[in-house]
Amino acid sequence: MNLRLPPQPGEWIDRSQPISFRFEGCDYQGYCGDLISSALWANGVHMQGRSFKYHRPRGIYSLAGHDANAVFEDETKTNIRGDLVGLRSGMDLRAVNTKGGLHHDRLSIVDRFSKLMPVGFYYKAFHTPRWLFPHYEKQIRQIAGLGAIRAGQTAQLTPKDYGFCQVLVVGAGPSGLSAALAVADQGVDVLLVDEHAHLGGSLTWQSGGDEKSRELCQELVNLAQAHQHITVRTNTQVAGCYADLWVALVDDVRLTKLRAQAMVVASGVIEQPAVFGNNDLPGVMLASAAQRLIHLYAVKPWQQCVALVANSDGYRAVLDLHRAGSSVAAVVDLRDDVGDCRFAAQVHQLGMRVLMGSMIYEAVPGAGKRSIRGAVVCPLGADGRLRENQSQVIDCDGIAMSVGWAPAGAPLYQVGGKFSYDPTVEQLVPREMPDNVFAAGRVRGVFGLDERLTDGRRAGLEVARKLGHGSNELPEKISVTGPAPSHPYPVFRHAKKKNFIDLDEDLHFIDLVNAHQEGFDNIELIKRYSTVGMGPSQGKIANMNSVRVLARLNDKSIDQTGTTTSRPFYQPVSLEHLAGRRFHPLRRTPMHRWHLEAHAEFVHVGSWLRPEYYAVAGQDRETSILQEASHVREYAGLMDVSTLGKIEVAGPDAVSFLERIYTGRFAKQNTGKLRYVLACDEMGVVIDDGIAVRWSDNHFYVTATTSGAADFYREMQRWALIWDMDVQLVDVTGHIAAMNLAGPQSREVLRKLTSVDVSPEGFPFLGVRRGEVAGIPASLMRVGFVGELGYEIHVPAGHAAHVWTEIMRAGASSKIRPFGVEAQRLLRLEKGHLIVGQDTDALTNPYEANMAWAVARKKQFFVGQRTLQVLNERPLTRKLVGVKMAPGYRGPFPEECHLIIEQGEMIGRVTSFAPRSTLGYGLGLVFVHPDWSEAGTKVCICVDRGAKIEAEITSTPFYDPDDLRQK
Amino acid sequence: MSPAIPRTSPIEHLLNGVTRVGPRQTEVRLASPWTDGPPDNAALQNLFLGDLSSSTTKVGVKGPRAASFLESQGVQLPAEVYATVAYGVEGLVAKLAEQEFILETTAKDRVFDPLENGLSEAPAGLLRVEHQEATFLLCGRRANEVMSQVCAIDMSQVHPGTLVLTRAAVTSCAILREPWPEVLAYRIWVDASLAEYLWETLSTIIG
Repeated sequence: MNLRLPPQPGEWIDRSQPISFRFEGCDYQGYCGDLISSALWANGVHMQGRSFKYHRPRGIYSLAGHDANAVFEDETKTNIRGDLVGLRSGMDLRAVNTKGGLHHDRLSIVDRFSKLMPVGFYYKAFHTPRWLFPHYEKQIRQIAGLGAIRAGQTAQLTPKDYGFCQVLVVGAGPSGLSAALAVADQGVDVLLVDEHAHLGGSLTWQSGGDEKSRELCQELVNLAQAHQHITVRTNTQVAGCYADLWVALVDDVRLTKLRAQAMVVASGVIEQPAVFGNNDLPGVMLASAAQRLIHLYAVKPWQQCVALVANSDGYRAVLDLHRAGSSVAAVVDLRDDVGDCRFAAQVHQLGMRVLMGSMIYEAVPGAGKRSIRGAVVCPLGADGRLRENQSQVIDCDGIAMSVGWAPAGAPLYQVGGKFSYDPTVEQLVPREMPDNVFAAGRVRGVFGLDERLTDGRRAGLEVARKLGHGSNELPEKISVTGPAPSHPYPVFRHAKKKNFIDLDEDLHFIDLVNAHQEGFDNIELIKRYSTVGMGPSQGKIANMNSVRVLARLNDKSIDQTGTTTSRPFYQPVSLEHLAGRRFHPLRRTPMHRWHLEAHAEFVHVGSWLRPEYYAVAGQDRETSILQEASHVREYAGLMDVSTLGKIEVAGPDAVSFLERIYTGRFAKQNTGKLRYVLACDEMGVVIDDGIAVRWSDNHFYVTATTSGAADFYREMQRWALIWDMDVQLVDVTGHIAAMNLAGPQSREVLRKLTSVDVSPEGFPFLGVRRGEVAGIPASLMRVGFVGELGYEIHVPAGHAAHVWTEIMRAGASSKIRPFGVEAQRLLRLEKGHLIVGQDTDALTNPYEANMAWAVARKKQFFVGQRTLQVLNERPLTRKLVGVKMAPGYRGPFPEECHLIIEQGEMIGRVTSFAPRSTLGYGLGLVFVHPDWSEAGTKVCICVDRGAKIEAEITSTPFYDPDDLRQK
Repeated sequence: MSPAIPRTSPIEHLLNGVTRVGPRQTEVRLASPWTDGPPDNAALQNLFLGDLSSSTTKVGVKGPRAASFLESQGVQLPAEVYATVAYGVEGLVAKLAEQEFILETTAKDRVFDPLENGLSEAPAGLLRVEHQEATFLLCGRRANEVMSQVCAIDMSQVHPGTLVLTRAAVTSCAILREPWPEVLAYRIWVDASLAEYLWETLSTIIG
């Protein structure tokens, strides 16, 4: 069946560009400019999806982006909205939420058992017996949800961006266009946004044969598009509004985070359905959807229809249907009197059958409920109830509903606007708004075209004045007048058939009644219990009727009943839009390229990429690590330690500042010397460590841990401000690269590259020197973290690769090798040196960590001092000690965080462990209860899969206890 | 004293096949991964990303005596924080804070030498600050399109010659809108460790 009409004035489809596509395995043809749903309807495909819960057939309902049941998927995407997404060539679509396809959906049987599934049934049904819950959960998870995630699909990066404008105008209908032109004429830059593909709003589809309005529309659009101060974005929805007019704009490809100085909301209204039996079946749709089909996509909605109306817009739709060749079997008007309505007069002149004071009781379903074949119409009594005994059946294949509107007020709600119900128009209208936000047109209850133009112009001039442009003269504010374009209660109970309030969530009238009877008599409660308004359309064509129903059940007014909170997003937004380009900064050292070429395997440490070890062909990771460590013990190794935090501390208060920040003393530290430093927070918890170099009386250079450097620098800045100290702090972490040259041959290697006296006497342990290394100014530090003779060499980052290369070249004869993070961890473990964050946790104090020697308790003050004074008076609850396996042990080894269990009690845990060491046995550090910390104590470690192994507590360091090698 | 050995750009390995062109007097290394053939002035006008890291050098001066020291060295200073003024023929001076300045010039220019000599004595109230940021140049009439995808600041409204301390692609950066009448251009200073990440991010956006 081809329902495509001859060319319509202003149609959005491009007939010169036919498009072939597939749906549920069948081939169809549409046109560029079609929506998926319009193209399907044009091909006679009225059943386009299944409903969420009962799997009832569904078709086009709003054709305005609010149809939650015409949702499709293809091989790349899921949940493609049929009334929102444009048709593209080659689409191969299937309806979501079916088992066995749209026509043979096995889950459609659920509709027959709907009486067993009243609202909230799953809250009550599946929690007992408890042992069955996993089964229930599995089944529900298989059935519930729309669409399937394609885990293998390549992630798409979207160009999320920032935008800025003086005035944002939301909606490009007559009010929005008028507002945009008015403000732009004052020289203010305007961003005009509309969610549709073309400008014009309702003027593009709601003509009723009025050619003047179409001409006016084109005139306004031309002016806006040509205006130098107006930028237009179509196919763009205002997805969310946040504080300070931070507005999320979403189009096909991107999310724009827009900052506007002011906003005019002319977003119009959303047509609302009537509630009657089978009001959800394919063939029943809003009159505005039928008009969109006709005018925008040149598609004939039905052969013969019944129009249910309660306003002049309904009669205008009837005229459009008549002109499109749809026979209107009857116009059913809920009202007794049409008032002064020129469209109604034209309908009467055409001799159409009009049933005043009547209502559709139910739609008569066709085969399989995939269509309708008639409408049962009843007169309304004086009490407003249906006279079912006087019903009549009118043959038709479609029902058009035009009974009222609700404001598309999400942007206004989200910026803090308040709405109240105006009985003059039977609509919620904005009552309060922020002073840089304005509303115009139908969202404000102004429906006449001339009035909307004037209202828009006034809003535009107001916003211009707000921004300091234009004159103080404003047109008089348009008053909201009748007759009401909305019916106050287009909801009618049906004794047997389902009469839906919310098509997204398959909620019908009785569901709300039942929820109310169960005590959910507040709008927010009933929303959460029944899930009304919580589907993909977020209640755009359900909320108003649910509010009306609840108000009547509670015998309260709409204002007393209230509305639910409007939150972003206005429409479903794909996660790829939110993710954007997914920025994940990675820091690389200046030697990164060298490491790559040396086959380094990298590990993420904080935001850095560091060489974990250097892979050797034919050799496993553990062996490579052990060989790197052994090489440092025997010859020389070079490690990239550029990732260490590096902070300059200078100024008259530098010493006092460091005395406060760290636990140690600095006043007597000699120039040209370095010290180990330990920092705690106010709770006495170890938060960082490093070294402090004293360059002069008032100038220090301190290092911090790789992953903690940024936080610790911020902490230093915070304290410097709090203490109001005269100290300069500069984080030079990325500006200065560092390398650790370690091993017995390291002195000889360094000697070849510098004029600095590196003899034991000239450059002793813990000394620091400045000089050139390989021609580059460098700071040299005698350190011993890995337990060997060693030097840290700090150079400007831009020259670090050169220095590194020269050291490797100079060390070739000394068998120098690079070593990575894992070898360093092993070497320091053998020396019993802890790593903050690895061997300490968020509660570790220095006493537990055997660092009491680093705490100068008699200092006047340092951060954490008072807590440590208290802790020092208390017995330890745990202690960091060494642990080792017997030489030759062959079994599972402990790993970090494995527990130490004795007599069924946890007495400690492993913080670091190396199964293989240069000493020939596995060793590590553990926290244990002090009662178990004596060297020689045997402890039981619970490893993976519940196995328990025995290890021996030992003193540290494991290696070179007299520290002879590093000196 | 500046070392005689040239500084290595942190994205040196990404710049294979680059050509050199010279907008104004500054020698600029410009990479064009998105165009065929060497860049020309048309490309420069449209959209271009260049790396100046190895051809520029920087030094920072901080402390209560920073301003007086620099003035004593004949350096003209900006009056306002975040303002910049020209330094020598090819360089610039930016005021980062009331007591902090950064100077950048081309590597071949030896104007820093007397400054370095003065700073090496580490006088009280004066701290030499190492600056090894990468310097990128994003220019062309479409530069703001790129900026809008990485930076939350409306760069089109930034006054030429003004430095903006902000974040680009969630990394901390200093961005200077160049006061060049011929072409819209932004100088981007980013921590050297993040240079490869930012370069690749910008290149991806540029396409």
